[in-house]
Amino acid sequence: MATTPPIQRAGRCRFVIPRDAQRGMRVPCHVFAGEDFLEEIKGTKALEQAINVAHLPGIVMASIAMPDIHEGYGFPIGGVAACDLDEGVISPGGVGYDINCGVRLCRSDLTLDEVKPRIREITDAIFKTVPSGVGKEGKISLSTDETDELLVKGARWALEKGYGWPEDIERCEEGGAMAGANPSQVSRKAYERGKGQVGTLGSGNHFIEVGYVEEVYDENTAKAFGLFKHQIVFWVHSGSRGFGHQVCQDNLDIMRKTTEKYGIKLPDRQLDCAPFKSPEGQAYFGAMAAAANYAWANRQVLLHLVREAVSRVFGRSAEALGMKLVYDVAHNIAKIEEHDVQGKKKKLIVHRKGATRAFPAGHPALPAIYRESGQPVLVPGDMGRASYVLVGTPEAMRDSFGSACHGAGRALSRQQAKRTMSAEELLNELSSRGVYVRSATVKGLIEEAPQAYKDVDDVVEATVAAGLARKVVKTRPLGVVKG
Amino acid sequence: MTGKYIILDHQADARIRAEGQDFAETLRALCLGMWSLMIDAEAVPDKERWEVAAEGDDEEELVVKLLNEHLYRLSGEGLVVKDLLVMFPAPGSVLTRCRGATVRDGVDILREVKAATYNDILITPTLMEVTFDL
Repeated sequence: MATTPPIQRAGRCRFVIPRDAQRGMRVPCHVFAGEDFLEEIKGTKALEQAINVAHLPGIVMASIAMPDIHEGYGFPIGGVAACDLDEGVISPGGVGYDINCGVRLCRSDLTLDEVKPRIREITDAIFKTVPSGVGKEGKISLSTDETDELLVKGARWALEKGYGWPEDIERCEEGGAMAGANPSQVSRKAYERGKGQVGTLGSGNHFIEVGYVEEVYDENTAKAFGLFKHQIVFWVHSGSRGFGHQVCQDNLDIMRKTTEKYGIKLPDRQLDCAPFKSPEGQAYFGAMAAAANYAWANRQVLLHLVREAVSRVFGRSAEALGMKLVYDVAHNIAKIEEHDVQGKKKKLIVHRKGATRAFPAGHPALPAIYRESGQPVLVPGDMGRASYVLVGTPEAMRDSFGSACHGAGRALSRQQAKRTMSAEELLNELSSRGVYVRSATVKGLIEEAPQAYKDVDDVVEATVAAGLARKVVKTRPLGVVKG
Repeated sequence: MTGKYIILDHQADARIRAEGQDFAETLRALCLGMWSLMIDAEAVPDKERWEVAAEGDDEEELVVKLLNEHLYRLSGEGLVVKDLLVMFPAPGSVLTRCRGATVRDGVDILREVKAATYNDILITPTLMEVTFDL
């Protein structure tokens, strides 16, 4: 356990670890967390990592820790850091291995009463249609030229191939494609790993969930998002698969040298970085944006497969079932954004590692459909409890670079999770909660048990109390497909 | 070769501690420890032979690059290691002679390992600890 630094209260669910210049911190650390959770993380590696992030050259305002913070590599998971574009750095550790791991939420006109009796049939149909688990390849095999196109076009590539509806694109953060993608900065190995994985779910904490809206907190915003009580929704959680892992690894190898080359002193080698405008920084940004676009194409194809599966079960088209995309958010990414810093507009490279963009009503980056309501902030929980749709706030713009939490965050290690119960007991428990699960591997399932995660209710309550987002709806799982 | 490994508790991912009498033995145990996260070695058929090599400017880089090369070969070619031998053909380079099978032989992959990381890495000739992103 690390030494607990001095922590000052700065408001409800808001705490500050003051800048310690002697230690090398360039900014303070702002922690958004409930009182109990703060006690839990005091002296842990996660909080130490948030402090370490405050050492990054060019970091502005603060290193930010979200209410779902837990230990990561260099950066904590649930961390946000914005660096000046001219004087600051970009760090692959601030994005993670699963570049643009993210979530999309699809609504429907189906209701709880219609779906509950058929949840096994629907979940089985999705499980059969969507390749899931380790090493599962999809039906799409890409040539190098096709991959190049996908890496630039992102979700639009999938749309042009017939996987989706035109309106899906505007309902993705960045329109489903980040500018600045540079396939020439992507290694041959990444191409190899990515060529058969578009339209595959992957493993670990990735999932597809059939859920229903249990509670509506904000009728007007829910209506703007197309959501209503007892409505059936579909959550898709996946990322850039082996392609993104390889891009991260390739660039971590490069950045091990750049930190020294540019005379950057850091307390943890996993924070290795390069000035954003250096050749290495630009190379990573171009490759990372390409991987982000791979992830958007992947989730677009996954949604298409879910629509196909559900459509088959009900014998009606996805259009007739009202299966519209609500939104798609990235929670592992670094993006160029403009923010107010001490009263001045500044372009920053904003790292969100296990954090969700949460832009409020009126933000120019939002699509017209959400400009009046604010951005849907998608916060999945675990497979036994709940998930939330929140909406961004002006306070988040001011205090967290327009960011909020991204999920429940792990509470138990995988080893600990395995000790709590057997896979059979877990399936029985989920069944008693009315949740039907299909998984590529039962052994992997136990590591993702609800007990392994913090209660997402607590994470969301702290996020809302801190003013970073408002609650719109809460959903409950009925059927889950795990990788 | 009598090196051994254990899986240590890690909040989000997995950490392997490997011990041996020298660098080669410890590295072999570390590789097998990583593979134990993904497969049951006993259940892997002994059908294929292949080599996996890596180079590094220091021992940490050498080890991490080797482990990631194994993951890449699994991802790209489906190669699953049952056992391996570690050799050092030149300073700064490592070669592993592997035996095992491919995923097409029906090997059950228990979970995905995304990457070997430098996070809190410990590399000595007789003790190694590496964290793996799952």
